[in-house]
Amino acid sequence: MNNMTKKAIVTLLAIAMLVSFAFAGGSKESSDYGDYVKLDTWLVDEPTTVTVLLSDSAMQPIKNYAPAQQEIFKETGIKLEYQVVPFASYDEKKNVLLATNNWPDVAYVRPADVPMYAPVGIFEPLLQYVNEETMPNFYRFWVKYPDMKNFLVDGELYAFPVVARDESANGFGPVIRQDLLEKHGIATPQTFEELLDVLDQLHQLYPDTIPYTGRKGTSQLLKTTSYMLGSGYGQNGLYYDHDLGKYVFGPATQEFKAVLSWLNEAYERGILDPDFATTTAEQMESKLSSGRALFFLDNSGFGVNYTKSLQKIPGYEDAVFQIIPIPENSFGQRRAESYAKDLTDRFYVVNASSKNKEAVIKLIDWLYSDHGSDVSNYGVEGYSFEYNEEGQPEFLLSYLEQFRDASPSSYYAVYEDLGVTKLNFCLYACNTRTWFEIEKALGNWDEVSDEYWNIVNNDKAYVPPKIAPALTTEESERSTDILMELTTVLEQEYNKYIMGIEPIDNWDSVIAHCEELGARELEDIYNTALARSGSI
Amino acid sequence: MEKQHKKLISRTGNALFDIVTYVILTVLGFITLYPMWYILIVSVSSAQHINLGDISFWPRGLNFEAYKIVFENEKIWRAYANTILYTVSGTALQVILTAMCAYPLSRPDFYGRRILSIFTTLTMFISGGMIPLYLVIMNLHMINTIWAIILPPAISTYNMIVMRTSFQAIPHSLAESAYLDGANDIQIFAKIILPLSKAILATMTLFYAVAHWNSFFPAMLYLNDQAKYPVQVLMRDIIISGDMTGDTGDVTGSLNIVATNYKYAVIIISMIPILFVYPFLQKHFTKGVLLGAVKG
Amino acid sequence: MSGKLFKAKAGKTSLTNTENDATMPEIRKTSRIKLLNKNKYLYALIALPVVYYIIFHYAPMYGIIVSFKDYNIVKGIMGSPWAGFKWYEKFLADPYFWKVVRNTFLLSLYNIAWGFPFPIIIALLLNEVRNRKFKKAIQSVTYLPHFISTVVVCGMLVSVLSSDGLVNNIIAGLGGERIQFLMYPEYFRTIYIISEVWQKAGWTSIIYLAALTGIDSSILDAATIDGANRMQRIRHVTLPAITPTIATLLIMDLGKMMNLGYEKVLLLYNGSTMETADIIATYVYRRGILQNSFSYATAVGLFQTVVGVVLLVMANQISKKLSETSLW
Repeated sequence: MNNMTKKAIVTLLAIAMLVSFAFAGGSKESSDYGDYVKLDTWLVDEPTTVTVLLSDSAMQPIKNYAPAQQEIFKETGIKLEYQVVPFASYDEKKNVLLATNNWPDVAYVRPADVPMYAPVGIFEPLLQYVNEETMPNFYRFWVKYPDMKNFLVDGELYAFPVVARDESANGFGPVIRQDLLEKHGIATPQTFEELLDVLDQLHQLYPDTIPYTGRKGTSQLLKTTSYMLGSGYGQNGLYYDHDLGKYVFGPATQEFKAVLSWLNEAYERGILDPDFATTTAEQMESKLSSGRALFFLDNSGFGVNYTKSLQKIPGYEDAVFQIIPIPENSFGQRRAESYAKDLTDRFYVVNASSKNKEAVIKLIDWLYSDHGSDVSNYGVEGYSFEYNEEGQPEFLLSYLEQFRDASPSSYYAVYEDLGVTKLNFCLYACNTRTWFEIEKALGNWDEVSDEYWNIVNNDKAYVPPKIAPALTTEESERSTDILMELTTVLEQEYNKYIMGIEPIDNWDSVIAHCEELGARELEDIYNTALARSGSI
Repeated sequence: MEKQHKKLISRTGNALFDIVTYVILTVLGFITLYPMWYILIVSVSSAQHINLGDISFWPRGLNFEAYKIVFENEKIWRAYANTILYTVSGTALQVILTAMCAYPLSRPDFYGRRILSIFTTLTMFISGGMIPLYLVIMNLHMINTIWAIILPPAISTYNMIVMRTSFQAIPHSLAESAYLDGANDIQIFAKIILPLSKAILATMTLFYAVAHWNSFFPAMLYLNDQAKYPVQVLMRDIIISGDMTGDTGDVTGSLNIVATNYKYAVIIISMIPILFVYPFLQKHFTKGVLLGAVKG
Repeated sequence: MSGKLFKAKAGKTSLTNTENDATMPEIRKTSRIKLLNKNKYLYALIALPVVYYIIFHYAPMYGIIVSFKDYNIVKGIMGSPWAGFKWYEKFLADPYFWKVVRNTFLLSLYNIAWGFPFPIIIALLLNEVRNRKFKKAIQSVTYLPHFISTVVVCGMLVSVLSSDGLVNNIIAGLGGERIQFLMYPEYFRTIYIISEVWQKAGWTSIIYLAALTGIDSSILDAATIDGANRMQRIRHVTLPAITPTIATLLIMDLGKMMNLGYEKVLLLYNGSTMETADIIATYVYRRGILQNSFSYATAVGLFQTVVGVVLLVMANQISKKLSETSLW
């Protein structure tokens, strides 16, 4: 070996050493909770560590040893250790951890994971704890929300649902550039047909714009529009029809033609974004917040943010995105589904092989209590919040002040700093309640927001979503299989009809194909389960 | 006369050949460079121009806000240190092990060479999959340690084969003469073969280093402690999650949390160090390394 | 067996092996021990790599039996009940699976047909450049795309190819009709392959450049004196010199034809293009990974392996005949 190579190797090794020292120094930061005094409120005799698997969030990065966690330890004697998985890789990592049965005491899982893994036996069966004595706080919700019975798998409860605290729900809704309607004296569209005409009119006035844009492709387009247009799509085709009172596989119905025809008309008239099948969320955002797009039908809450960024551009100072009441569809209905209001789609499961099950159950019950909820949503009394005369927690303005100009928003910065609310380990969780409170306290609340919530809350078209009935393991496997087949076939069909490559009448053959693949059986599985859950 | 004519033709042919070569390479260079340039100029442009999509060749609304945010992010710095640690230690280990594996297999007189070649090549095609490998690493108690990052990919069979091919090109006579001087195979490997293979060693170092630098999946899978994550895990999260916010049930909606220029700034910053390694290694690609040795 | 083995090997690097060949027929048990003894330092060298392969490659292979079982997490791989060929029957009987196999095969084939020659051409062209600065600059520039992650590349593709993107602006500028490239199945393979070439060609050319540095310049000089022009020199001197490298890489590429990764396709395809875009990896991703059917995913994985090994052996045989290069 000559000198050059030797030198190079020595240098590289030296760098590696240096860096690893820095690294070792860095990992020391994860210190413990420090000194403690045992209080009467403790749920355990000795300080006990409970580990929790959580998904990280870009808006609110989750850190360990945040004030709320410290406070939980102080009051309960339980040290929470979060194992945080990057948001983008959460599904893969969680699946590997569960499949190798090498996971923390508690884990955040998606709704579909519960029936999938429950029969295997890695989740602790929970019904044994659901009673007045063991879990008084959870029990009160169990009684209050009979819908929770739908979470049972083969008659057993395997996951604790996150219960929402004072939630204002919105949902998918049509949001349009209100300022342009006013400027040109265009009336708010009352039907979906009129909506197309209005967008066409705007397109003629502003030929360089894309009137109607969306995100994340065709399935999102169908998710957002189908129910309003008289059929439905749910997450993957199967949806609960509140008017019919039963589960229907949307794409395999005659009504679905109305959805495709409307989208096809929007496409052919140049209203719908020609790139509708490929547009990403980021592109949608940049189109709408730069004035290039004028309308979207998706999470209507986005409008407030688009308005804010749009108004910063010279010439757009008066621009406003505002939701319009749900228009009437071709069947004469005005209907829409809001987001979940009381029972959210976040679930926590307990590891059946955990050594601290007792402590875990006690802690979870404590988090369902009012005080536990206060700590896990408002942080530390005297530091970040105080109780008002009615005994309700309220943030301290002196604490909030430091987050006035925080990014991405004041309230997310507060959540991150304290380690609180829905995206953290929180079972009776605030979302809109704390959000509104923080924004109002800091004076960030504006008229557009007020008007927005006014319209959403007063629109009778919205109904809360139906919680899917509990399926048996067998039913759940069968329905996943059928759905998989249906999705593979249908995904290749939708765009042909939206783009007008196939005439709408040919959809009948697609319906026939869906029926062959078991669309009706799928409906039956769900409707049987629905009937069963009603009779409990 | 005729000879002169031929010379003339070859000269003009030469010039033409040169021109064509240069033109093709310049076009290629432009095509590959432009997207990189684009990422760079977007990272220093203002959000409004990015939204309007009117940036093409020069930054508009020049500002370095995005970089300021990145530099202020402690998490990214720590991830950076981790990446360097994993890359340097991982690459050193990989190059050494790969050479150790490739050299015997390059020797025509190595008994068992065919069996061992098949033994190694097979692994390129057969794998037990993610879960069994995870279980093996778990049973070795390597989860959440640096070993889970640097040991499993220690030899890339693909690279090993490339290295073996390159070792084969070294005349065996060199080894023969060393035998006569009383050297054993390990000494020949360390003192003759490796110094003669600087070009391929440099190439392998670069290949491994870049692969390590860009890899995120093992880190995501085997590391549980956020403080141990490399840059790529964070970067992927920054890039992808912008696309996933405001899903159903999320009342709050999108908040422009990950501005495009921030995203691009992270991409640029994550690329810089490895770009600096390249010219250093490129020196070793110089012609005639091998020839010089044979002649001398 | 060993005699045949040595002969097959000796062809390539035959500079010093003549005496070995001559002694070959005499090899018996005793000389085998002698051989082992003679190679002992080589065994010492390769010992660690062999241990590595056993632990990190062969040990996890027992996982393959999962494809014959109904995997149950608590019972573990060994304790799970046997399922026979249930999973194999499931996908082999699915007509859609064969469509996916066909797509994978075609995408790979086109990818190799277009993607494989590019790095060689770049390397040969760069080798002809005499201006060192220019050479270095181009070299550095062409490998840059390799550092961009797939997510970013696909993001850029989507925006460049959108109806108001760069490509369509050029088409419209030339008086053409705007095309939504990502929404028609006939464009998918082209888009995929161009982006692959763009991202990988410069980088892969490094291997060839490294091989080119090994060429004896005196041979090139001799060829020049003999009146060979540059094209002729490339054809008769340079190209043959890197043929072993080319053959080796091509064999490996062919062996990996069925193993196209899912990430890029997943980020680029949509319902309209699935007809050509859906490949084994994405199919397994949707069916196996997202639904946690490890048995199913492993079964398809084994199928891919078998096809891969068959392709590899075939490619290797052909290469042995044509260029005397063999992987083993």
